[in-house]
Amino acid sequence: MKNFKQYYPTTVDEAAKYLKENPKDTYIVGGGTDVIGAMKDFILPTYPVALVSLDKIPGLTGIKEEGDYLIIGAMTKVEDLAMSDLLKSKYTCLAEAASRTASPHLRESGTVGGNLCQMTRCWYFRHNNNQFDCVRKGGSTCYALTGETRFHSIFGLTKMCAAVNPSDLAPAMVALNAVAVTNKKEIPIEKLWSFAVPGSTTLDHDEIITSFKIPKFTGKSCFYKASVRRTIDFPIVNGACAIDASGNARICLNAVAMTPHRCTEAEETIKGKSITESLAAEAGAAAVQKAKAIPGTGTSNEYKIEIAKGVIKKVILGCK
Amino acid sequence: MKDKDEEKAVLSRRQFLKDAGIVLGTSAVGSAALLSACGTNEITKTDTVTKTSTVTKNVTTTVVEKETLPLPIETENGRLLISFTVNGKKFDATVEPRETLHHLLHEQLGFKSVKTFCSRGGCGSCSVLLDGRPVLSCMTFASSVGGKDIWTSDGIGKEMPELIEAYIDNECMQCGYCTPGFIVTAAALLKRNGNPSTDEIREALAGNLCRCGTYPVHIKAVHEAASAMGGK
Ligand SMILES: Cc1cc2nc3c(=O)[nH]c(=O)nc-3n(C[C@H](O)[C@H](O)[C@H](O)COP(=O)(O)OP(=O)(O)OC[C@H]3O[C@@H](n4cnc5c(N)ncnc54)[C@H](O)[C@@H]3O)c2cc1C
Repeated sequence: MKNFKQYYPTTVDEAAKYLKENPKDTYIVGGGTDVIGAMKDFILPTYPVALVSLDKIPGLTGIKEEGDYLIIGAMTKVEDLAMSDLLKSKYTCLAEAASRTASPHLRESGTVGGNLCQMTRCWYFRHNNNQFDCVRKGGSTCYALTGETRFHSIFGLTKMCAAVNPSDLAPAMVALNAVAVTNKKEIPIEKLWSFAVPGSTTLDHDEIITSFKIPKFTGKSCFYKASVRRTIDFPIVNGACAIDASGNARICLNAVAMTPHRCTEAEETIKGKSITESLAAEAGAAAVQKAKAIPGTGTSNEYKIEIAKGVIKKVILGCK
Repeated sequence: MKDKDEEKAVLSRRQFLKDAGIVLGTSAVGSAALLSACGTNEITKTDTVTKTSTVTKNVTTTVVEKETLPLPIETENGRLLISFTVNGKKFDATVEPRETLHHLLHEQLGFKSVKTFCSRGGCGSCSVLLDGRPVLSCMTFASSVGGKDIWTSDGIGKEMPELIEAYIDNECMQCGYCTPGFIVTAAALLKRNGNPSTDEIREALAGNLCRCGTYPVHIKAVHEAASAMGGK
């Protein structure tokens, strides 16, 4: 790594001030497990002049129910979510997603905020030293469309970038209808990401997520992740389903497009019906109706459509 | 980066000779279960202490008095002064912002048991305990550990001899490169859960990779260590 300046602010305002002072080349660090890798590989659009760590700001961690919401501090470690009895019993899909994220070590330093804001793992985007000037980096070509696409997008081919959002917590957060609270505003979780290129999130440069708010949930929820190995590997496809006490479902897939993909077709399919194996399968089929594989030149990602179907079926049955 | 590391090592060695004798007083702090430095690590540690003390020497004493403050203190050339404990022993060091915890422990302080292999957070060979959490030192900025309590496998070995013995009895290492990482992770598990099930051990150790494929014996060893420690 080349050298840079490291700030350790003690308040969110101070952190925002440092970010504002250097509008382009300053990056936020949560646990650093994504940023450090990106810096070692020199894949950031500009090498950071400074990093602003949120590590020493008090009050950004914790999981608690308060009023009508469950509040999770943005700097809470992913492992703490996985271990939380409150989440395991009431917000099951989030605890399950956390327990399947990365490896135990990465969960011990990785934060919730960092997990949801992490950069894509597309191998063209991640190639050492920015060797591929891809769309997401401000270039004009998506190299995946004519290359190796095994793990790439099955939704959103028309949107120019075939990368996928790799976060395991994202689909659970979407299913639970979370809101990201920043130092500037509240963002409904689905608006946190966008196909707009470049960048991974819709946050302003000096915008810092301080917590996530989830409306109190009393129904059932389930998360499932299909990956090559159980631990360390990123999802091939993951998904979560949350069915609230009055029977309304929210279903979301991830690792299928550059943003988490809300499956409204599947939600419609199961609405007001009692869950059976065949209904869950039907919902899976409905969810992937608009999915499209990328032919590429190597291994196609067509198999991901079948996996997505299966993931939907599993998470719906998990809410039975 | 290699050149720079080498250059730094040479510099430190020279500095070491120059400043031989100026050993900063270190005191044991932390929990009751701490160890005094002994055995083969003594040399490394004395060396280390001297090395770090030469850097902090230029800093006024008021800075050293602030050592309980976990915020790093900026010194010359943008280096950051931090204080922390490793295996119960107190250290002061100045680090570059880009330095990882692995670099600080392995290169600057001489804890050679902290290995690095993938350097990208994927293999677990650089695992250390940071305030009780098993983390990857290759994916942690050194400047962030001020005020924190770090344990490496050397220290854990002395605190949990049962674990090391179980590892030896079960021949858990072939090439041995991944072993310190496994020890750290297993210790973290045993501290939280005195009597883990096979599945729990499997899950806890899942972030440590072994190219020799010694996985089954690790599970046996952790079970044995747990019962030897009496489910403490
Ligand atoms: C080997 C390996 C395997 C992995 N496997 C998985 C996996 O299976 N599933 C998965 O989901 N992830 C995986 N990860 C990705 C990731 O490291 C972790 O998920 C982790 O949670 C990221 O959190 P962090 O705090 O370390 O992020 P950081 O590296 O600190 O930050 C990541 C990004 O988020 C931004 N950011 C951080 N906090 C905030 C905030 N509060 N407000 C605004 N922006 C913020 C940073 O600027 C940065 O761009 C893996 C990583 C590695 C290295």
